[in-house]
Amino acid sequence: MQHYNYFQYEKPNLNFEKPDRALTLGNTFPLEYEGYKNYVPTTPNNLTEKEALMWDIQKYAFVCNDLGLYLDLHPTDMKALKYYNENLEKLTKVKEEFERRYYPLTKTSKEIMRRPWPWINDFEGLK
Amino acid sequence: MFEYEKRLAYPIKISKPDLEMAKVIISQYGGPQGELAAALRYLNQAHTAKDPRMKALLVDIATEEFSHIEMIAEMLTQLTKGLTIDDYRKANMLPYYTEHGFDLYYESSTNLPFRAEYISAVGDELANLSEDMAAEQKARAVYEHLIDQAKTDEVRMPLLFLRQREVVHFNRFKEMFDILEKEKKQK
Repeated sequence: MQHYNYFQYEKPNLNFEKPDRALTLGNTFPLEYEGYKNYVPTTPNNLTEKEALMWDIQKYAFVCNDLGLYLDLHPTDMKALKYYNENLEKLTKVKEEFERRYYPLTKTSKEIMRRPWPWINDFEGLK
Repeated sequence: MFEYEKRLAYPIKISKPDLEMAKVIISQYGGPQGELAAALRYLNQAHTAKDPRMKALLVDIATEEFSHIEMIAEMLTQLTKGLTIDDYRKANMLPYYTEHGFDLYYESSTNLPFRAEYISAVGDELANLSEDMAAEQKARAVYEHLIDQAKTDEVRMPLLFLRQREVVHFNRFKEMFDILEKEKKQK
């Protein structure tokens, strides 16, 4: 197993997976991916409209989280910060769309003021 | 503080119940190398971490681990959905049913309930980080054992995702370890 250290990561050519692939692999930095046997992670298909929108939330949130861990240790890496910001902006947009169309994701979402209390209706949002 | 967001970190959609698989996956819920132990270990260490980078890393990884507890819980729920006492009898799981009915419980695949001894905090940053690195490696190994047993992609894909997260977390903790060790030597 190969490990990547601080100094290797400080290289200016640090690159990132696209969000779809990042979530599929559970990995944002291509250098860091380490497969298991010959299993190939696949992106879910045949998604309903709602599931597809949820996948978009999941992928942008995943990239923000993973880059966040890296930025905790390298807060001045501008390339990582730029990719983080791009994904955060997209995440905000898809969350707003999802909440408008389906249900508020948190108790402090803007949508919660506009409709009946949604929390106990169903838990299908988890899937 | 924490605010709950009503969604999973990664989609779980398991169409066929499988009690045998649930019986082993439960270890990543409340077993020695499980996600509960991971979340509690890191969050606890974060409170007293002196280095701000390390504190941030521990809080962020702990938070992610809580979302992994939820993924495992959802896998267990779907793997046992609609099953009856008779199914539990066939899988030799009546003792589990006796204690917990159809609820989940934090225990290992060998039926040991969750214990605080699974986690440690010893008042030394490098020692704590070494424990965290070891924990990630052990969790990765257990995920591999589970992937070896998985019969469908519906079960395999989330496990592969979670396994890779262990690899990434290990790398972050290792980086933190190397940074602190190097800075210590320079003093």
